[in-house]
Amino acid sequence: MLETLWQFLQSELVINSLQALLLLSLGFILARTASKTAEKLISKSFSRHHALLFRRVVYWLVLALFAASALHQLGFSLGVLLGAAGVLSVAIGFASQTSASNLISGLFLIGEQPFQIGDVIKVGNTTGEVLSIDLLSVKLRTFDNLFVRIPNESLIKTEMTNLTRFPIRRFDLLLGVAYKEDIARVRKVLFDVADQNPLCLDEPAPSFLFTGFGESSLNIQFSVWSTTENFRELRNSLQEEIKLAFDAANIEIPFPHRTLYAGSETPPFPVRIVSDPTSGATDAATKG
Amino acid sequence: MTDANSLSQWWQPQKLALDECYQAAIGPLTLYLKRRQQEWLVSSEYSSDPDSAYRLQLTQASCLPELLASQRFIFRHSPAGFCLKPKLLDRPVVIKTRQSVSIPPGEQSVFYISSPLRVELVLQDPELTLFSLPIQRLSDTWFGANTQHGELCYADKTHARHSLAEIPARPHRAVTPITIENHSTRMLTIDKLSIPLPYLALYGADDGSLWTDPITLQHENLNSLTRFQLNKQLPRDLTSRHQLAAPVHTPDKHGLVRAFTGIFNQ
Repeated sequence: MLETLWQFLQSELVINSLQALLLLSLGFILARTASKTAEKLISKSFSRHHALLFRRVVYWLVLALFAASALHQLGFSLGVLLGAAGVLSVAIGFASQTSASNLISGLFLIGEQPFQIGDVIKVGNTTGEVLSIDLLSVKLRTFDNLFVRIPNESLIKTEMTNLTRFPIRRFDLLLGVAYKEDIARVRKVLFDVADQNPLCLDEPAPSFLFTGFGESSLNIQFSVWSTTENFRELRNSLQEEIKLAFDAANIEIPFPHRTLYAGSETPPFPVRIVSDPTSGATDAATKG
Repeated sequence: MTDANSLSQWWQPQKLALDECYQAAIGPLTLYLKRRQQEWLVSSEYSSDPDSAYRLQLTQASCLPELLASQRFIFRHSPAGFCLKPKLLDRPVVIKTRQSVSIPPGEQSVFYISSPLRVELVLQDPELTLFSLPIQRLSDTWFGANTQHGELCYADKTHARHSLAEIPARPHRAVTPITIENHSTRMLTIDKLSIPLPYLALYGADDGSLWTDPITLQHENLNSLTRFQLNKQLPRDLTSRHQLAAPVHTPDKHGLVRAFTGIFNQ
């Protein structure tokens, strides 16, 4: 019994299988170390994204080489395998058109580099920080902490905005003031507010644009610059400060006005004059 | 107590007894410190009064103001020694001169320009920095050729004074002597000037005034960048013994900085 087992263990099949297993495990270990070293080496001179990509390529390449030699060790002929893979790939290609198109779009995205890991981008209605750029999709983390996966194909097709590409950003505040206000005074109040706010950049200077005569207000666009990271804070603080400054300077931000015109053809509106608000209220109450 | 309008070396190490408070008003910033057995409590406030720029009051206080939020630093046994260290700002400061200044070709001129400082609270034995605060809150500004390329700086306004005697004694600002040489063939008009503070060291004079390394800016023809040199000769009777803080960065070998050209005017 022991002899048969010993013979079996010494047979070519078992030895080959053991060698193949050894090759595979060696491949795993080598691929991991090689990819980590490659990432470390490249991360000094390339972006984080390129380093990550390079790491994956090295990992799969080393692993594929070892897997191929393991198969060879087991007696598979690689030529036949590759041929079969060729036929298979056509079949798989038809079946996985979407994935293939995503893959190719992913390659274009990597080449074009419209954003990097860590950038904040806006695609359609989704705004978020880029977590990873993979071959099939881009993963985002939105500001309400949701994980969003966007297929590369749709990223290539649609308009995408990178919010953090440039170090400074402009905030356009659209506001209206009442027709009775003095525009020069409004301008001075706005510039004073921007001057006092430390988040508002001194240069490029804020700009004041009188955009036109609105239905019930004089329309103004006031544009101020801030650093990209302070943008949200500036937007909040500036609007609050402008409201306070307008209140202090008695500048009115009007609600929509409607003037009713009775015309010469229609009879005049009945008007009731109430002299004292308290007596008026009791008057109305008794009548009601 | 120190007189409100005279300078003193406020950066000297001091000791704070247990359960005592300390109040330091340096320019617009007031710091309140309190030491307990196992913690240091720190709070701060800024004054908007324009006269506060000249104040320097270092006093023992009775307690921390209740309305201010304070920060706590916890220790096993809180160290008694502390020191308020002045530091230069971490970014260049862009100075707008109140009147524009023109320097004809071939001429040179010396200006004394002051820039506000940061203060660091450093505990002694072992030395430990608890926090760092700007003494005066400055607005951010962008200094560069366009909105894509340039650097983020702080903005400040100044008179670009010509003589040493005219500089008011302010405890929270360090004076930089700047020699501007116009080597070009055209008039050099300056309405904005960037002081590369991260390249400069800070010195504290015996009389309590603060100084930085003197610099020379050489403007050459058709060049948006300016050659920048640190002068070896320190102002007044300062020596390297007076150095309070070393420069944060060393300039590259070309010594070029963007000093004059503001945004969109190249």
